[in-house]
Order: sequence, then C-alpha cells, then structure tokens
Amino acid sequence: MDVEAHRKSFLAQLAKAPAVADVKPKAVADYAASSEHDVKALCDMIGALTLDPSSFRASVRTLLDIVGNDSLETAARLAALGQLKAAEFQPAEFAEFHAEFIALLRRLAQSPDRGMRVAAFERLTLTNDVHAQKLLHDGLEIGKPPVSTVKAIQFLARDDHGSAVPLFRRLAKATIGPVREQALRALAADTQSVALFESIANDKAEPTRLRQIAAMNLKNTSPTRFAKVATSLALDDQEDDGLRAVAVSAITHTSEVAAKVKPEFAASLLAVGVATGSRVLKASIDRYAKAVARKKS
Amino acid sequence: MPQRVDRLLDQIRTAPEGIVGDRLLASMLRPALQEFDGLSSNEAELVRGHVLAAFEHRMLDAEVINVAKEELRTSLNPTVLAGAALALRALQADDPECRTLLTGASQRLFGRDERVSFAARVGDASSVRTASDEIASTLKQWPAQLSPCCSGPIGTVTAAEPRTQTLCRHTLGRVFIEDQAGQRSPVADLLRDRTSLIAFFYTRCMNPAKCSQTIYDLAELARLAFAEPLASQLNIVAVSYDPDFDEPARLHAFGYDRRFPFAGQARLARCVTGWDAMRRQFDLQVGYGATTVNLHSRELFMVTSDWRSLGIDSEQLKRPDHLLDRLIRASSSHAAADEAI
Repeated sequence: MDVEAHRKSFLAQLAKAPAVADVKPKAVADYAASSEHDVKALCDMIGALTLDPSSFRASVRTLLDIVGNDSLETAARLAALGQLKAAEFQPAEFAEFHAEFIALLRRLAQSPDRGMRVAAFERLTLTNDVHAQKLLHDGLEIGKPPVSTVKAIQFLARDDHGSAVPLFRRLAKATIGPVREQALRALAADTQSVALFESIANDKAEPTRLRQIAAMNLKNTSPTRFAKVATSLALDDQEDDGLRAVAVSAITHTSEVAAKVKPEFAASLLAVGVATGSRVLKASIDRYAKAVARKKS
Repeated sequence: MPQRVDRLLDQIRTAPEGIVGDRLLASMLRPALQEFDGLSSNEAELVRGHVLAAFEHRMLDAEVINVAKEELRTSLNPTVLAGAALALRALQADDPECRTLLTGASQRLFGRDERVSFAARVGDASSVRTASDEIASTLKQWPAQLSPCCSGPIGTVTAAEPRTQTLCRHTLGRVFIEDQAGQRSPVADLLRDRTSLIAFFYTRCMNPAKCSQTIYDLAELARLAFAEPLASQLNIVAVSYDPDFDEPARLHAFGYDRRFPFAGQARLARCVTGWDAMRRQFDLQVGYGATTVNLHSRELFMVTSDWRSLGIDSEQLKRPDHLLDRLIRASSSHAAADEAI
C-alpha cells in the first residue's frame, strides 16, 4: 500500500464529508429511549454528540447510560463507548467519571454480547486492569477465553509485568498457527525464552514468519546469542532470502549486535551481496556495507 | 495465577486476631515474600492493598506505618493507596506527615481513580467506594480523633530499626557486576577500601516516582560528589534488580536519559554472577513475577570500607547535600580508623 496515496485519499474523503451539527445530550438520550429509533441514526447522533466544556458532563452521563444499557443495540453502545474513549482525552473533565467508567467496563467484560466484551477488554487491558486480566487468564487456562484466543493473548501481552508469560510459553510450544504466532510475539521480552527463540529461529522446518518473530525476540533478549544466529542465517545460501535480509538488517541497525559480530563476517557478507539474485537481500547487504563504511570513516 | 491471588486474599481475611495475625499480615508486606513469586505487578499490588487495608482495626507498628507512608508517597495503584489510607485510620498519634502524604496521594489519583473493594474476591465490583473516598474518609476522621491524650496502644509507634549488617566478603567475592560500559569486575573490588552508596533499581520500572526518580536523584548526588574533593573516594553505584534484562546498553540509555554522570566512581551496573547472593546479603525487598520484578521497595545502602552496610531512607536522596555530607563523614571516619589500624 502506498501510504502517501492513502493519506491523501483519506483527507479528500474527510473534506467531502458533510459537516455534522453538534447534537445535545438530551436529544441523544431521548432518541435512544424511543422504541422506534433507527440504529444508524442513533449512531450518527452519538458520533455528533458535543464534548465541549459547556455540555461535557451531561454528554458523558448520557454516553455512560447508553453503554451500560443492555437493551440497546450493540452498534449504538459501541459508538457511545468510542465517544467515551474520546472524552477520556480530556482527563481533567473526565476524572469524576473515571471510576464509574472502569466499573462499567468491568461489568461489560462479562457481558453475553461478544462485541461489548471485546471492546471492554480492549480498553481495560490498556491500563493493565487486574480484573480483566483475571478473566482472560482464567479463560485461556481452561481453553474458553471470553474473546478469541489470539485476542486474549494480545490483550494479556500488553502488560510486560504480567503473570501470563508461563501460559504464553506453553502456547508457543504446544499450539500451531495464529495462536502460536501470537504467543511467540507475547514473549518478546522474556529472557527465559531465549533457548526457545534460538531453536525456532534456527529451525528451517518452522514457518519463515515464525522464525522472523523468534529472531527479533532473540535480538531483544540476548544480543550475544542473536549475533550468532543472525550471522549464520545471513551467510546460509539454503536459507529464505527474506529471513536473511531481516537478519542483516538487525545486525546493521542494532549497535549491541553489530559489536558482537566477528570481523571476518563483513567480507563474507559482501561476497553474498555480489552473488545473490535476491533484491531484498542485496539491498539489506548494501545498507550494511554503507553502515560499516560510515563507521570506519 | 489469579487463583493464587484469591488464596492470598482468603489468607488475609482469615488472619487471626491479635499479635499473631498482625505479624502474619506485616510479613505479607515484604515484597520478597515467596508467596508473591510469579504474580504480576498488579496482582501483587492488589494483595498488598488488601494487607494494608486489613490493618484498619489492628495494631500498627512502625514498619507497617512506614510501608503505608511509602506507598502514599509513590504508589499509583488505587487499591494500594486506599489500603494505605485505611491502615492509617488506626493511627491515633498526631502525624502531620501522614496528612500531607494522603493529600498528595489523593491528587495523584486524579484521573485514575477506581472503585475498590476489600471484602470480595478479584473481579467482584460490588463496591461503590473509590480510592479517593477512602482517603477522604481517613482525612475526615482525624481532626476529632487525633489528640495526644487519646493515643492508646493502637498506633503507639516506635521508630523502625535501620537495616544494618556486616556483608560477607567471602560471599560477595563470588559476585561479579557489569557496568553500563560492559566492564566486568568482582563486586568486592568495588567495595574494597572505600565508602559506597548503592541504590537498587531496574529499567523496566513503571512507576516514575521510584526507579526513574532514584537515578535522577543519584545523578544529582554524583554531580555534587564530583565537585567535592573530599568525596573523591566515594563510589556511587546503582545496581539493577533485573540483571537478565538490563544489559549494558539498556543501563547506559537509562542513565543517559536521566543525566547520570558516568565515571569510574559513578556507575549503573547489573550482576552477571551471584545475583541471589547479592539479594541475600543486602536482604533486598524485591519480588519477581513471571518475567520481571513484580514488587520492590526503594532501597539505598551506605557500605563502609569495613563492609558494614546501613540501609538509608531513599527520601534522603531528595537532600543530596546532606546525604553527601553524611557519606563524607562516614568515609573520613573509616579512613581514620583504617590508618590507626
């Protein structure tokens, strides 16, 4: 995807979008309470609810009521939750509602509505909420997480002081596919998993994507052992070129790793750069060569 | 792991009345307690908050009061702050410092307040009282209660004993450290023939009032020491609680960002061999979760050339000139004693 083109297209869309007039909290509350409300219209009204200082408190009160109303449609409640998250960006004004908001989200984390559960966990785990973490952890332990397994791992992994790492280690060894990949990502800073990272990064039978994650985790947790793995990967003609390029790039851009690479590595790598037909690997080796030359000069 | 938290909360609730229960609960305030091993920081803090809250109707001793004060000074966790506020309700002797700390803690809760419950299991959100409510209630009850004539056995406080011990040269002889520049040396070489100020910290600490602030303050002290000829024989060292993770590059970046004046006498370091021995020697109050530290105290020690270590209140780092004077005096008196020998 061309990021610049995407940015321009998005800005153009924004410019074309009709301006929505501010909506007052009472109008939203009344319309939500009406038995004949249209969900799309209600979502639009919630989106246009003003959060300016004059009506901030009334708006937040209305939004909390909508989010907490189990009889309303999920789409409307999620729209209100999105607005509450925006309101949180005015921390001084939002402070008086913070405790209530968190308590509401904790209730929603156990909602029968999956969409509400996911949204609640999404927000609660951003601040490492211990109650949300317990629900996710307990669910993963018994194989029935309150959100998908991949999401549950993602959410729990946000806490780098968390207690779920032993669980991630088990999942990274014993599962396959996206769950294993996510578990491996969740172990990014786990110094006790260095041997696992090394073994996956070195194992040609493992999927390349998984090996790349393992290699990057190894770089974070043990630059010395990563230097060995990366130099061996980079010089191995039988290896996947993408993976070799990642290894070279990591050596180039991580001074602690570069410092641990043997001096003869540079000459061998430059020879690979001349011989390889892979553009991505060649480019990565070129960058390495330039970095080495800069360092020498 | 969360089931272990529930078990610990049960243990707190069923602690016997009287001194046995008081001691049991006070022991649970030690971050190095084995029962906390493997818990996340939040889980360990939740338990800590409950332990503190349990002192509301119990005998407070100086150690518990110091823990409560330290939490009010540094914690960001609503449960811990509410627990500390509840614990201090048992205090009947006038303590203006507690009032100041409670007010400061209440301000720190602004924008992060939560409902707290000390009666239920993890996940029970039935309470409608917030951490700020608990602090406000503690502050409110004091004017009527605080009076020198009514201070009875509860809240009668004696000063906590400073932590002093003689370090074992033999044990520390097997401990090696590596500093931010990758220089390795036996910790015994560091301590030999000089007075050292040793702080403990770790780079992944999430509380800006703890490790980050410690290194800022230590940097200030080191700068003062460099400008003082009498301090030329002092070591100023901060050692990581998280030696596997805190590689030299991380130590360097952490110190650099906090303007730590690295030099031969001023270093950030990690143990590469013998961390457990180091922990035991200093009786460090640090606990570990699955990957890193889950709870820790702010710990600062002066170690004299005769290998005696003295625990120093980390708040003294806020007055670096006074602390430096104290270090210089200790250094001079030991140098004089050494010469006499």
